[in-house]
Amino acid sequence: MERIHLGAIDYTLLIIYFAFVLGIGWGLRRFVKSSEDFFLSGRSIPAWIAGLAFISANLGAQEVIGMGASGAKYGMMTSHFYWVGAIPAMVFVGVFMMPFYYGSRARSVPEYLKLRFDEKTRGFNAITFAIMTTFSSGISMYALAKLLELVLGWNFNTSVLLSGVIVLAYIFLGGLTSAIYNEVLQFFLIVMGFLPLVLLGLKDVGGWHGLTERLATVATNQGFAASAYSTSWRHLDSAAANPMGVEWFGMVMGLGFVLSFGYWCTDFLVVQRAMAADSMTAARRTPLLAAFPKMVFPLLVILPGMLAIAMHVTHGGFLPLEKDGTPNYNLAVPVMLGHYLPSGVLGLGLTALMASFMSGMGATSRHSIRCGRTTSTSPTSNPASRTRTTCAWARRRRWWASCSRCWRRTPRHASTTSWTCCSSCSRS
Amino acid sequence: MKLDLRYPIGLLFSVFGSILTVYGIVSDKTIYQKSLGMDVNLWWGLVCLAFGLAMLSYAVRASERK
Amino acid sequence: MDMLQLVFAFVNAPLFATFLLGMFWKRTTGHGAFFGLLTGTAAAALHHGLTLPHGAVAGIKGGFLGTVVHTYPSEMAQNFWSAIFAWTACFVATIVISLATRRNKSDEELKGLVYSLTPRQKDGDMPWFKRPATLGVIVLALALVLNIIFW
Repeated sequence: MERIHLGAIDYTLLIIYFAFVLGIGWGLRRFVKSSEDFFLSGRSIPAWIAGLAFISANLGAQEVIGMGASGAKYGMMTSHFYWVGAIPAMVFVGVFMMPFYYGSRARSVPEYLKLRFDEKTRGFNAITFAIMTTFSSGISMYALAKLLELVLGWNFNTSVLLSGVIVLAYIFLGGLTSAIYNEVLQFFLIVMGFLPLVLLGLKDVGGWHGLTERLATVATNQGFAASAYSTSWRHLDSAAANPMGVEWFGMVMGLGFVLSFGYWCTDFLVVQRAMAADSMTAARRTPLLAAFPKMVFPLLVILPGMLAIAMHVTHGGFLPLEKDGTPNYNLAVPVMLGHYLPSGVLGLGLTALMASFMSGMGATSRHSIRCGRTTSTSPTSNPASRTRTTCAWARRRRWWASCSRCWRRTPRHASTTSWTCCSSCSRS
Repeated sequence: MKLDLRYPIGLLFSVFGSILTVYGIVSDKTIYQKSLGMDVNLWWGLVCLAFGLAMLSYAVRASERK
Repeated sequence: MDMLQLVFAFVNAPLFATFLLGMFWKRTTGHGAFFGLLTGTAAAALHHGLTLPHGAVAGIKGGFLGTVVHTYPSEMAQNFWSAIFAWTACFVATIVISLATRRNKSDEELKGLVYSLTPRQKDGDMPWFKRPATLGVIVLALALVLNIIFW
């Protein structure tokens, strides 16, 4: 595989981006007194930006690289992750769940479990959740380091260290604010960084029609019908008829209902956004508005993967091969970037990739800071006396705790494991 | 600086756009063989720049309206 | 991507069943939830251990419980079905155990935590095109159109 050669301009763009993110995070801390200040900016931020923050918060490297890989491996059926696996759940959350989260006393998933059920349920969830976020972060870091190694020729160990340092740096410096800013910035970066790739790729294969023709070769090579890689529902009648190996029931019930509703309805991000919104209507609209860009995303992240496999099969040798001869799907997106983009826009695309990795890590670490026990001294009246503890994992990493209402950092109490919510929180 | 998110977005893309556009003009044209002969840096740089400026003007108008 | 969906099937799938029951059925008890979660996670593990995706070697991709009862065409299919089993097991177990144990929270304690005990949202005074429900319908319609285009 041709290694990607980065020019000085590519590094320049990347460095400018990092400087931007860190610098803004630093400068912003003085201004953000409450999460409302950020999301509503004195109620002058339009709802569409709140929706973008919502969708960006869950966008990470797994999505960008992973969807490209799935597009190469499974074809157009990958779109089900969005159009069946995300949109209905997001609508459900916006219309039904938001009023519920907003009205309930619980401020996080574990807290809900404790209030609704009992401590042992909460404890079990905390453990499994910690395992999940560890895996999630681990996969992210591994993917980033592997990418840097294969594509840029950087040493694997150094890459792991580098990715860890980058994430720690911007979280430490800018905290939550920097993380949130990064997320929305990253959304636009991904659009602007990947769109040229999609446009060039489509032009090269001869538009959607040309792509379908090439994908027909991919499909028939594997014994499927010609349109198996370019349609999403037609071949779901039996598991043997499509590359993903699922029939429609497994797809709709497994992905459409259980996995996607399970993710969007119980994920901490949802609860956080509900907490942050000031009005009920704004809270309800946020996931609905986020659904619009979410619908368009498949074109941006899945298409490069489909283009890659089409090129691989019809031109040969496009994607590097694994030990067992199958193509390395995870490299679909980076290979496409290197193939079509010259230095300049290449740097932009790479910056978008890096941004997506960083944001994924940022979101995960914020989750873990809040995944632990909640103890209330006086449950109802005075917010200042409510104490929050953080889970052992976050404490071991010595990340700052943040008061979950005003995001102001509070120092560790020397003797106990609790943090006192800062007294400047006037929100009741 | 106002907390409005549109400022940093607009600024970042204006900066990126300008750099790409300039590079698109001064760079050696042979590198554009891989992008099907088109000077993507120039064109996409202009797109980014337009987007960045649009964001900035949107932000400025919003703050003036307040 | 496949690995991530696997983790989700183990963690999120049972949790969703618990949430559904906790939010919409006030009879759900603490014991029911806890053992339901355990059952769901165990079901996911059991399913994963007894099945294998096509062409894979027994180990982290499944089949670690000795026999392979079913082979799936792909890892993703295996994940989806793990999720289905996990959710169903948790759902059923939670219901059964909740009915067999005493309620640990009174109606008063559950106010705001269960749908039937939470005040409803009134959208009545908003013009119809601003209501979230309208937006929701539009989104679903668009998603349907996209699904049809790429049928």
